Amino acid sequence: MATAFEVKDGVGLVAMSGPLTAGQVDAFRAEFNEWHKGGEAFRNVVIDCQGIDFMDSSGLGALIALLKRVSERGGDLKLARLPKKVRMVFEITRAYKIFQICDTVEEALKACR
Amino acid sequence: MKAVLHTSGAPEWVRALGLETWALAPVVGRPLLEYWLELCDLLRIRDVRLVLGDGAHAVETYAQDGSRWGLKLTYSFLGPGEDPDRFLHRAPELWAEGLFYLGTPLFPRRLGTEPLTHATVTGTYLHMEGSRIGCLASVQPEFLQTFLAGGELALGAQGFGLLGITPDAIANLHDYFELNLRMVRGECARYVSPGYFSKDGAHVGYNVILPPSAHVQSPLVIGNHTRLGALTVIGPDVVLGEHCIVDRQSELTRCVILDGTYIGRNLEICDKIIAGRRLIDPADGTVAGIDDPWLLAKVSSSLRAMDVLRALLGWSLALLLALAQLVPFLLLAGLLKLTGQWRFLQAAFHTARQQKANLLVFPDTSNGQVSWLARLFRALSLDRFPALLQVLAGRLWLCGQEPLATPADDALRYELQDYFPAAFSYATPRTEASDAVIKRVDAYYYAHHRSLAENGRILVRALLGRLAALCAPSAGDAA
Repeated sequence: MATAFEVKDGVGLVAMSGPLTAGQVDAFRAEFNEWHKGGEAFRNVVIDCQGIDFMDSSGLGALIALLKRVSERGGDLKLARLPKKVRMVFEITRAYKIFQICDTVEEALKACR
Repeated sequence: MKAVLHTSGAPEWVRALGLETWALAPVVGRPLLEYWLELCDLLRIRDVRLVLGDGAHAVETYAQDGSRWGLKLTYSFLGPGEDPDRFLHRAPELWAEGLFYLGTPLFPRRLGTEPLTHATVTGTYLHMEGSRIGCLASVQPEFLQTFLAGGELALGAQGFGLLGITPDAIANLHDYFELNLRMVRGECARYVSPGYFSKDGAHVGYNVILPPSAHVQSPLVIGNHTRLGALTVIGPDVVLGEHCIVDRQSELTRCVILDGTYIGRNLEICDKIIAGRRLIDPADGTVAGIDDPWLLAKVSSSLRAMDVLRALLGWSLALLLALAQLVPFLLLAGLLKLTGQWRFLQAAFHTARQQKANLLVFPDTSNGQVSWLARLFRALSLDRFPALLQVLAGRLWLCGQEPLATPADDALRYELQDYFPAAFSYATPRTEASDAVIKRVDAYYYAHHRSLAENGRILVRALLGRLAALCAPSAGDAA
């Protein structure tokens, strides 16, 4: 699991790649929390999911935890470029009802501004 | 009149369902082959030859001698790459009196609204699939003589509609999905479904557990031995196979769930096919392998008596071996650490229970750079000690297949129907790591030859083979 964090146009942007499963979620959450703690310049976050090749219920749980954390700081979390297989997991777990999912990163960034 | 049904071949849509042959692809809970066997019975054909290829063992185990359908089944094999039609030309005299022939994967869709009664083949009926014969029935000697001699198909053949059926092709997952939904929306009443209770478009098998809080809406089909959790919502347009479990609060609409599937809690399945851990979108054929038993899983059949014996025996032997290895392992492992030769690596692998775990792996000793101490460590099978602990924890068998790594061997894991990861396998005596081909061959060989005697052979070969390798000169010595 590789993650890249940056701030673009005043919105936090996280690019993820690799599997997001039980084995990776703790490290990912710790990394995200560390980055988010110091991120005073932004409130909203976009996660670019294009590189995620598999996600299980633990990965989904981690994303929900991030959503809660961002929301508590008054921000919004949006997902962009969900691969088809990950989108199918979102469909069966009803997660698509919780997250706002955008087709492109630009669309998600625009929605956050 | 005799019938020849080709069961070989697994088009892409069949492989996506995790099956080896189209003949066993279930349509509303029953294999496609069964519809053809029933049709043979209705046409008063008793002698049926099943031509096997891929998935031969599974087909033979399922159909057996055919007495279940009042038929006499015999089996033949199709050579690799052999044209199914040419099989008939091997011994044409066998089929000269009348032939019912199925050459490609088709579904015998019945045209009437009522169950088909007996029909009689009086002429020649032909259904072509492109340039190939899909289905053929004939009792006309002149036609059969010309056809079996390899000649052109004579004109004048009629369509199968006159027999009350139309052979439907299944080209992809979308066709398969639509066929199942069409059946559940009313057509399955035309077929025999023994033991099913049918009312108002709902067809429910026997031994189905439906709690009072479950909401069931027809049309739907629920297979035998299926269990629904509390507050589940099933239907409309749902085909739920046999031995399925739907956990509480899940909602299923417009979907096909194959036999032996577990649907996790609070899920929403719509416009999908689910086959065990495979989540399939029939619209575009995307298959997602869900490696999470909280979401989807293959329901394991309960352990058979022999499996219980195997597990008990394996566990006891593993305990004995672990106890015998404990002191030597600690001593030699300590020495290896002191001399800087401790080379165990941690690798993730698929366990026997559809989960993943980490295993300490001792790298191969095929190169000549390995010290005498490391070779002794391996010769005494002390590198198996961590795996023995996994056996005691129930994550591995004592003898079986080489544990498949994740993600490197994920494809093979999804392909294998029978997976028995073990501390000792055919690969254990080898000094070099198995390549993908050897791994696949070993895994399939074990799946087909699994027995207590085979396990004994694996264990003895592994333990003695390694000791013998210690005495043989190493590559480094030879150099």
